[in-house]
Amino acid sequence: MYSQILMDDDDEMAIKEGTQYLLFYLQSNLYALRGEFITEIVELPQITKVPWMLPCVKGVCNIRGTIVGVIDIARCLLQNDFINTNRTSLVIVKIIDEEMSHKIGFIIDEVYEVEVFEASELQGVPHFGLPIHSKYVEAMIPYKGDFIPLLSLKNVADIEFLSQRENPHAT
Amino acid sequence: MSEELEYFNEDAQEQLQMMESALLDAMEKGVNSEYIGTIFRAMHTIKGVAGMFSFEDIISFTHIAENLMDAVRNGKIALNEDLLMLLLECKDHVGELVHCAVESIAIPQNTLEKDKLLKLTIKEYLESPADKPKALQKPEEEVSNSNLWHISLYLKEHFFETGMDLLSILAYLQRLGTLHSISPVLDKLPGLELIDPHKPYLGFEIEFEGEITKEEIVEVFEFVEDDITLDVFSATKAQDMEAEEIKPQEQEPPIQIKPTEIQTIQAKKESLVKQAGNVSQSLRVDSSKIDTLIDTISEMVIANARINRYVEKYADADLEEVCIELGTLLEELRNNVMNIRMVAVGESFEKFRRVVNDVARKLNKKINFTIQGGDTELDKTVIEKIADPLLHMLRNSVDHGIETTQERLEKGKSEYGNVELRAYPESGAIVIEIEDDGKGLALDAIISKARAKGIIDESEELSDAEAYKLIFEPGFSTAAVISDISGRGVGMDVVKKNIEALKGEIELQSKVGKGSCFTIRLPLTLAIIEGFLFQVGHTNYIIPLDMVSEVIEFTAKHRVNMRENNLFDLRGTLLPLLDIRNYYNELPCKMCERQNIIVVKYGRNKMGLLVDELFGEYQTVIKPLGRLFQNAPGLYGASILGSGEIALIFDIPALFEMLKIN
Repeated sequence: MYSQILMDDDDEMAIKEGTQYLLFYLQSNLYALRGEFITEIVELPQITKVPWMLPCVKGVCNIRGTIVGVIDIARCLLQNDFINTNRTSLVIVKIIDEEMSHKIGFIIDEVYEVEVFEASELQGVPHFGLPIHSKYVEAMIPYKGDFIPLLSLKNVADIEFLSQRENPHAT
Repeated sequence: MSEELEYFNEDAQEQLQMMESALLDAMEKGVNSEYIGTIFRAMHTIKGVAGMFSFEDIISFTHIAENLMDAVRNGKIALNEDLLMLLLECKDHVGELVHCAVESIAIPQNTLEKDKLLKLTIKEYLESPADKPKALQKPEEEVSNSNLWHISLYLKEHFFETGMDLLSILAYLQRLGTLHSISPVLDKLPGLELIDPHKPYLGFEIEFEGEITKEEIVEVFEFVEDDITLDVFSATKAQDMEAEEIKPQEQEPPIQIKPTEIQTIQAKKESLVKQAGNVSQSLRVDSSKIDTLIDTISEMVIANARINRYVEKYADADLEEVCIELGTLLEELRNNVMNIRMVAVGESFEKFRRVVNDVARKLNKKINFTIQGGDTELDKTVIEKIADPLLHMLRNSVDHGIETTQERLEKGKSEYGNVELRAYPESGAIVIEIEDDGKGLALDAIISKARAKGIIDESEELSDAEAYKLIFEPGFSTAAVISDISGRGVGMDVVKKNIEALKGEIELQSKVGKGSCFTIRLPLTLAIIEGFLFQVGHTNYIIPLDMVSEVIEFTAKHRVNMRENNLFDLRGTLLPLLDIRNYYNELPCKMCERQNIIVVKYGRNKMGLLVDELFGEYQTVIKPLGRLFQNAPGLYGASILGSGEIALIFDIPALFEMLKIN
């Protein structure tokens, strides 16, 4: 136990063979995302609204010269808008859609930790009992006596769904 | 395909295209020496370049074709209509050979047969003395077979400065025959203390044997003719002269360059020869490189806008001056880069001449095909994508539009049908028109046909414009007889789809008995545009400047006149007004004091947009919004402002379209 605390992250990653995961808070609960698709994590930048999008699509922002779409995953998963604090961050992920790679940003409440887990540590998803719809969860990760839902990037960043137009003028 | 092969392909296509234009022009306007020269050069150049790749099939064929053209050039054979047709066939045949060579596939059997047939026909021409105008007949020595030649070649002082490579030229010469020996002449070489390494001091004495005339040998050295002194004389005839000649081998230990050595070095130097040959008028650049360049310039434009903000803040006169200069240079750079992507439509249009010619011949119609505005420039990718639809429409015009010669004469029209292809710029778009003076389209025929096909209901009443749109419906064709050229009813709908994919529009105007005119409107898709920046609610928006017709203040008078309508009065013209804040659910802008109307136009459409604050002209870089916003209404991109904020760019044509549907 002691030795684990004394080790810093680099040593820990060197010892444990597995994938990196980002653990973060979303409305005071911990969630995880696979590290391999995350390109960077930045402070929440100014967002420009794009008209007629779903409530969870907040708009676009400027990440060093690239236009990146911003998704409020709290709104997507928990039906509550995010609350902007000084810890609110934007996780930029790279997704491949129709053979084109592009970047989108997820708003999260707070970054908690980057951890390494082995594939054998992941557990199956229970059919109900989760605070969010089970289709958004890929696996459950046991962590410090708790279980953290690992979000499925494919289902959370579903471009087909997110790009829908919400036309307020349609009759 | 390797890069060199691509160069070869591009080169050959260009030459063939020039040859074709020359042939067609010769048919239309009569033969002149310029056309003959062009045709000869095409065959000659392709032969030369094919030589570097050892494409034996191409070499052997173009060689014969070149001989034929040489004979024409020397006036031995008259260039009549039949021969022009034969040359057209040769051009197509070479095109096929090039295709096979480039794709490295075996030449199909029928092509091989054609090869034989064409070679035979050409041979007949070359051998038949009947076609030789007697006055111009050349002395017999010109057609001598395998000859021994002595070439003496001295490099002028500035030769190394030209960047030409003699080795490649010698390697090429080697393909035309056998190089017996190459001996350097070193007697001009000064002592070491005087030597200037920038000067060649060299000469070569070459023994060469081949089925080749003196002119042809001289031509090999055409690219360097100003930089060398060249003497070519027949060694077979000049046996006796040889004794008098100082043979360099006798004085110096002979340093023989083996032909095989030349070959290996030559492979590396192909690109140099290309430059030296000056055969291509264009430089091939990977389009992704240009995209990167444009991206970088885009970033620079943004960075410069930021510098300008600091300059304003600190009010330093010197800094301001430098900034203005930098701004001007950036503007220039931007324009230049944009121009790289822009290509004149002319070259692409010229290709249609052949098609129109062929179709007309097949249908026994007489067509006068004219091209106007060939120098109008358009994005290269757009030109490539528009070629197929245009081709289809031109075929249609000749096949269905223009009447037969007899019909035309009966109607009192001239026996030649006119088809015109035009291109010109119009308010931020390029317009391409295809007009013919044929029979035109009868509206009632279109409508009854559409009813019969179930495209519209029996009861439906249509305006003229709507009725003409029917011909772009899938499965629509008014031709009574389906020919092998057009008329199967697949086509105009595909044409329309292709044009819409380019964010363009197509419309048709027609008068029975007078002719039809198709108008295609294409946007100038470019990465950087001049925009007009304004604010609605809390969001910045940009409209391409050339679509902004004017800007007026939204006053109480407008408000009263509008009442419940969304219309406003612009100096007596009633225009629809779109309240952007309401339409896009923007929050009211607290800081903004007054509202303004921006009048936008696209094609014949005009409308007003009700907006808040105006910021004026702004140079913008279009950045894609990405697939996430593919359904965003009337927006096609975004731009990053100097402050790092984002402005959304309006897609005015799409907005017009959307409003019509709604």
